[in-house]
Amino acid sequence: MIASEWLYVMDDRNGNSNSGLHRVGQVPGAEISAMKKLLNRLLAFRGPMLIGIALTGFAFAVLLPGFQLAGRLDDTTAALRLVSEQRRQADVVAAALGALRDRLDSFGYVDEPLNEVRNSMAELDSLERTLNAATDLGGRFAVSASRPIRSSPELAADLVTFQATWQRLRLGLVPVVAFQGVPYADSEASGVQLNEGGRLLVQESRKAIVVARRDGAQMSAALGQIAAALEAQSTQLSAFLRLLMLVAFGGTLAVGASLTYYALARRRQALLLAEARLQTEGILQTVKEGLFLLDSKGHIGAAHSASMRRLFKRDPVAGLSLQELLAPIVPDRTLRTALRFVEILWSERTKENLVRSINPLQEVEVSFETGSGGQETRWLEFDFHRVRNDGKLSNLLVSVNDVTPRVRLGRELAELREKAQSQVDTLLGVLQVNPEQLRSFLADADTAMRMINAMLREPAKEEASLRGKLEAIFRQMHGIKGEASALGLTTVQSRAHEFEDALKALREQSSVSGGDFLTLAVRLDDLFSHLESLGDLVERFAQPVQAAAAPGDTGRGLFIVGAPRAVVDPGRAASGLIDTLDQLLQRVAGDRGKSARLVTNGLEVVPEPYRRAVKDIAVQAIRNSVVHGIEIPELRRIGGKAAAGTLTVQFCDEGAAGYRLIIEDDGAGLSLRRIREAAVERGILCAEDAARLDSKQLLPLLFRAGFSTHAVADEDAGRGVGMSLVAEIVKDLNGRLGISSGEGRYTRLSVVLPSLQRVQSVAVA
Amino acid sequence: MLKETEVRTFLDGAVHYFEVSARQPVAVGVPYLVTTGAPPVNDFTGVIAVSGKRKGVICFTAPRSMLMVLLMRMNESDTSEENMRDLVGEVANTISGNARRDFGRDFCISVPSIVASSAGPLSLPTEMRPVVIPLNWRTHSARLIVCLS
Repeated sequence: MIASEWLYVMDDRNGNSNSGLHRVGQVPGAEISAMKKLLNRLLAFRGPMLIGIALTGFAFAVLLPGFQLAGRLDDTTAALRLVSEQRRQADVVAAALGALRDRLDSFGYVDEPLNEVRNSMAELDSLERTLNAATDLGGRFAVSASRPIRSSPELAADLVTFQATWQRLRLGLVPVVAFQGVPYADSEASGVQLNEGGRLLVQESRKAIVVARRDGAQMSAALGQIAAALEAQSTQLSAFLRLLMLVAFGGTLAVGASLTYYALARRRQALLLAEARLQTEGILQTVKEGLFLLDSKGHIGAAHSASMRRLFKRDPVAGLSLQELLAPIVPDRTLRTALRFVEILWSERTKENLVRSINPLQEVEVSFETGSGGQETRWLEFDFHRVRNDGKLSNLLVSVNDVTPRVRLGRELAELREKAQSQVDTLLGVLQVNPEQLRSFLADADTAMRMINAMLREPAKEEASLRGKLEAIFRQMHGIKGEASALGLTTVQSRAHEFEDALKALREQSSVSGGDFLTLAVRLDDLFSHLESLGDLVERFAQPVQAAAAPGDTGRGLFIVGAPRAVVDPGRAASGLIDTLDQLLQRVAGDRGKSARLVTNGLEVVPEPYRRAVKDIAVQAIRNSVVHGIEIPELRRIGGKAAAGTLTVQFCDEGAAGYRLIIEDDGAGLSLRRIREAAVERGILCAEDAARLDSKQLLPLLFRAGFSTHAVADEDAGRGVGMSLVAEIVKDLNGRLGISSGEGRYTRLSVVLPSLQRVQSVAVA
Repeated sequence: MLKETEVRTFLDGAVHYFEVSARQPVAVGVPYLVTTGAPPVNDFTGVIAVSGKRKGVICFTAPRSMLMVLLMRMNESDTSEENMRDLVGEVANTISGNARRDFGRDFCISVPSIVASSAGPLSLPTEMRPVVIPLNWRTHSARLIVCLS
């Protein structure tokens, strides 16, 4: 939601500045695009354009006619004024002619009336020329003064009448005004008399008076009609002009209102835009995500969220390419993937949702130098959205989230889940174990592993001594594995088995060096850690149970692991050993689809110093018996045996002769043929020698390290270590070892351990 | 918990240094764990702290006698203590450089610091079990100690 709002604002804000965002390689479309942009730009100014057009129309529709009307009114008024002024000229002429006649009668001064007549004639001539619209006169009036008159037929007729009467009057006046000089003659004889010219002037003036009386009145009437028509026309024009002014006022109000509305709209839009910008700035400053636009050239736009500086620890980021942004903080491979992905996003052919679903940048690990030689690792989540402008892909909106806490929490949860699952598995295994046995196993395994570590630490450079280490370590680890197997501690057993696999691989190398042992040290560390966690787990569960358990209670599932070893009584220890052996027997038999039962005798008399040895020997022998000796139920039935095999472990104190441990099964017995084959397969004997050897010579091979008749090694047999370990234990205790077998009937392992008194005396000696 | 590939990367760094700088390969001894107490250190120890995906310490520790011969082997006549410390730091740097190359940004490895044995036993995280890898060169023996969780 935020992103879309932001987009909208960005688009509005950038306006046409996005013109530079078109992809390279689209030149033909660019021109069309430019035209569209020009059109858009013009549309963006349609408000002011409409107002301009309205104003121009208003000027043409109102102001220009108004101006013309005003001109016409002015002309009409001027014409009216002129006509009104000249209407009196007829009376002036008549009065001047009357005055002339009177002066002539009384022999008075005649120049004054004559001049008045002359002036009036000039005025009327001028009036006639003006009303005739003589173009030879300058001034606006001269151009248009005739129009009001000529444009009206009545006025034109009145003008003709005026001209006709004036011309007639003028003809009568011309002889009068032509007189020059003095009309009188003075003599002694007759005194003052009219002279020739005076008499003629009298005659002409009398004629003129007649004409003036006749035509002057008509001329005045014509001018009066003209004046009245002009006045009416002026009144009409004034009314029309008022109406026009009223319209203009209305138009002005309308345009003014439009302008005001437009200005207010623009102002409101500007306010909205400013508010939107403010909101955008607020969002970009506040949002925790990194938001930025990528253009088609892969460059980051100028507008981006402030978080970009925090997320990428650099400033500025605007103008950088995505490659420049990511290169310092991600591996090359991630960078290449990111750039390729963005390239795909730019392709219009690919569907956005589909592409986004395969976004490889959903959890990118980035590293920043901390400045003190260290590095800070964080995880960023990138998301991409296509931004379209006019339906065309113009930008990519990229959002970046710091998902470090989520990733770390997820990893911690996964680790905890794995650890919890491991603990549950371990616990389930532990719950099946007698606590005394478990305590004993943990202590023995710890000792054995420390022994292994001591063997590793022992300096050795020669090949032989290194291989000697391997053998010794093998036997120790096999003991741990055997006991773990007996107790059903599968997590320990599997680790021990992997350790043996690594040992076996080293043994099979043509040469070994110290560095090759690294894998053993690492696996030993893992086993140490696992047994520690096992101990912790048991300890955690043991405390409350221990408090609640009754003294002497050795029932399964009660973890009295903290009990001191010295207080374990022989009966309890024997019970623990029997349980261990029985569990082992049942598990190994069950794994192989076999059935077996354990019969024990005398294990409660096993002295403490031999307890571990007896357990280790019995464990290895039982595994061997079940794997190699006891048959599957179907075969046993065919052989006339009970479906379940019987495995007997017997221990007896023979006094000075020592102790005897017998482990016997009623299985298939030893196959000399198979022993021969195995000896040949493993290159111990050639076929001829193998065929020649009897059972006494062949059976010792079973105690040879690495010898096994089992073709494939598994967790219980096949490495040739078990019986070798038995032999090793017996040898260390200065005991004796024997094996006998009846084919199809039994296999018996017999171990004689020296009496402890003898051992002590030897030690003293 | 130790991982063999990681330990081997650090070991390769140390081995590489001897092959290139001393022009004489080092014989890697049998690695073992330190189950109790502090790991054994020689006269000078270069310590690199590791953080990020894994946490812990990598140390290269060598006796004075070995460092002196190494310096001479590198035609360096100045066998002062200062130069020996520099040499130990250089080995540690090579080890960390090798690790950076192999692990990329998974490991955040600090600049080495040099500690003399006179400063007391090396103090490593107690919850970890360091693996010690003897590095035998001529008659001398150095150690690479990897302690990672």
